[in-house]
Amino acid sequence: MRESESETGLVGPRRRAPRWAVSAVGLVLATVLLEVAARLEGVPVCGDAQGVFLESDEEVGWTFTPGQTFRVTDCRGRAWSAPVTINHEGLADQPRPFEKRPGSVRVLLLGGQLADGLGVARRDRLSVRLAHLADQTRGARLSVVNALVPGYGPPEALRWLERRGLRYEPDVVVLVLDPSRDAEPQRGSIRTLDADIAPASGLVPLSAIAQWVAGRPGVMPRHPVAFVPPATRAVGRGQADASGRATAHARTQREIASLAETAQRAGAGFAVLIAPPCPSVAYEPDLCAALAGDVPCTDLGATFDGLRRDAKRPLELCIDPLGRWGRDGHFLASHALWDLLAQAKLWPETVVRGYRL
Amino acid sequence: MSEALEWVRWEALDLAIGCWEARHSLFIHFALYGAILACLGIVASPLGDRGRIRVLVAASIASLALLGSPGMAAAALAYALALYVVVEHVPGRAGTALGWLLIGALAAYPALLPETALVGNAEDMREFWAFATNVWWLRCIAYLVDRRSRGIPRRPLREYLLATLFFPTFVNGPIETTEQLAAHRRKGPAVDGWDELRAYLARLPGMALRFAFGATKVLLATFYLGQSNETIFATGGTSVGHVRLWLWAVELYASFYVIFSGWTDVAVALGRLVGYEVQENFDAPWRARSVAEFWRRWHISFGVWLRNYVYIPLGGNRRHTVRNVLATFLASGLWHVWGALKVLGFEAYPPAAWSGFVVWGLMNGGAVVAARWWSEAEGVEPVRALVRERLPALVRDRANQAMAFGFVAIAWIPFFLPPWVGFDACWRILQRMLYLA
Repeated sequence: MRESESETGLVGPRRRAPRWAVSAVGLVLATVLLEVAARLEGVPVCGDAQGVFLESDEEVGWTFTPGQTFRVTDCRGRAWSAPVTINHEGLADQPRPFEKRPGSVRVLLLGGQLADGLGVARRDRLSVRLAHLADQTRGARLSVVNALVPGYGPPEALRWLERRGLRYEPDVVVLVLDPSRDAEPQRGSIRTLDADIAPASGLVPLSAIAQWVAGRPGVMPRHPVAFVPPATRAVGRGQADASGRATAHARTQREIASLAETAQRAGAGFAVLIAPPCPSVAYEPDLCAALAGDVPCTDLGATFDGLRRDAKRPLELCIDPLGRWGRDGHFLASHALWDLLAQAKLWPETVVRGYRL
Repeated sequence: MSEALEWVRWEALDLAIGCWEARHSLFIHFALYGAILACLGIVASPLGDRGRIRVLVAASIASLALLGSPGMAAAALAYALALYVVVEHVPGRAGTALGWLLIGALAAYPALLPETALVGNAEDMREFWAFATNVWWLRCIAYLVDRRSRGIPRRPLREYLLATLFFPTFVNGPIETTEQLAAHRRKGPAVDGWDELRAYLARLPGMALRFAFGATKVLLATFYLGQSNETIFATGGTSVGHVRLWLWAVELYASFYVIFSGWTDVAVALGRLVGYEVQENFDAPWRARSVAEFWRRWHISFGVWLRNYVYIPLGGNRRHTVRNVLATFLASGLWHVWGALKVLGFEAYPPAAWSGFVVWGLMNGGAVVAARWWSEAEGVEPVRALVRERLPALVRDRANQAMAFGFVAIAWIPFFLPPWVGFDACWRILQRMLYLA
């Protein structure tokens, strides 16, 4: 008799049968739970594989691929990763009805990838932090829609606001503007990926475990698209001379005015957050001044520069390989935005004056 | 009526979305990976004891790799093996000294690791290792002391590894020493015969309910409780009214209890699924009639550990009792400081910020000493007799419970003090609670 059997008192195959039955049940449960875990966790995807995340959309141009769950990781070996789930509107945001909860206040965050939150934990994202600030004051609940999509500048944000965003019944609309991209002569562009990503086949579209093993998301029903950032930065380059920049600024101001008008026509306040780019590049901090008086605006550039210079501990203002803000960037932005909207009296009284128990 | 229904509908929707969004939290990962581990433990039931323990060890290490990181899980295994080899195979004082050196290395591990090992956006990972190593460290000390000083017999490597790395208790306890976990082993899914199988299946719903109850507690408390902590601390309590401030102290107590006991519920349920009767960590602490009794009902496994490995070695009740009590509670406060340091780092959590945990520890220690003096000092016997005579036992009990509850609730205030708020905030909050500000 084997030693293990003597320890447990097993004496024959008939007494083993119940154990095999338990074992079979355990195996089924383990498989189900593994599938659940894989679905919740999503496929690890390298942070710069942007084409996988985006998909063309007839109404608004492009969005994140709806319904995807993935974990953005740095495939270069640094120890960070963050899960992302795309809702059915193609936003990196929680599932959210268009209808607004009575008494709550809704904020739409528009703009590009800089503050879309990929690469940071959900609780650290600008949208979630802003809502949390309202929880802290025990004011009216904030419902902050994270409508930041890679490649979106003011024209795309306007298109999204008109065709989809107003359905959210926003009280405040905020444009997060990357001045190094959105207010410069050269902008990024979008292209369709033809055959770069083969359609999923076999078990991959069905099973999250299979996706995990294959190492890629399984669902790409429509055309994946890639956001191509500007090949060169305009500032400091000979081609983008002063007149070119002036023209670009004037264009951006017109676009911002259109956004403000659209928001205000729908009864919503409007503000602009000038977002220091990642990685850090110089830009002319004059856009807020140009908008002064028309649109509430704050520029985080000086704050970011000061912290980069003076902080005693390493800050996560940017996730460099992703070209996005890190959690400290989101943290600073949430407080700056809260203060801006308070100063501009764009918060309803119920938000800043707590009434919740 | 329709407004109430509407409110319920929205609240339910918000709650559902909140729970869905919480699925990437440390707790949900712990519960999910723990459930998978339990299922793998059940799959291994046809194996003998040794095989099942080995499967559980392997599954625990795999869970650490998934929840933490593969590198850190490998480091944890290497560390556990190194401690075992030193304790079991290096004789004499050299072995003991080397063992304590390893214990010290585990305490200082964030400083020993390369900077990139725990940086970045995986904040959960940092929290995970901070909590887990705090608990693991206590198990390692217990193992070293048990084997070197108490003459407790050697356990096979697999049992030692399972006790130190057992995933359900690895993250947040209960703190089970190698001896305790081995003593708590039952047959679990390793049934012999259909009757035992039926008995095991009959217990399954209870285990599942305990698991679900724990998970629900954690999710609901995270969603509804403690939302205004930061503001109240930052404003010294002026952001809310006096009554709300008292309610907030109770809310602190309740939220901590609900969340912490929820973790324990899940750990206990997972342990039972694979045949380990992991000890309970809470026993209705709100019923305690004194602070000393509270500590026998709250985080019981930690209290037992402190008693066995700090209080008694210091002399226990035999000599310098007051010093021993205060030193034990101070050790508890510093243990929490160490956990916070690992999460936040020295820069964000400088020594000035440690006062919250230290004061919390000394408040509790002081209360235990004061209660002991009250019950033992001969000089106050007439007063005690008068109280016994005038007040019925039931009233005395309820009054004692209320006082213990109130004291413990107030003591949680410095415990939860955020590092970026000065300690004077606690004082201002207390003044405001007493209508002095």
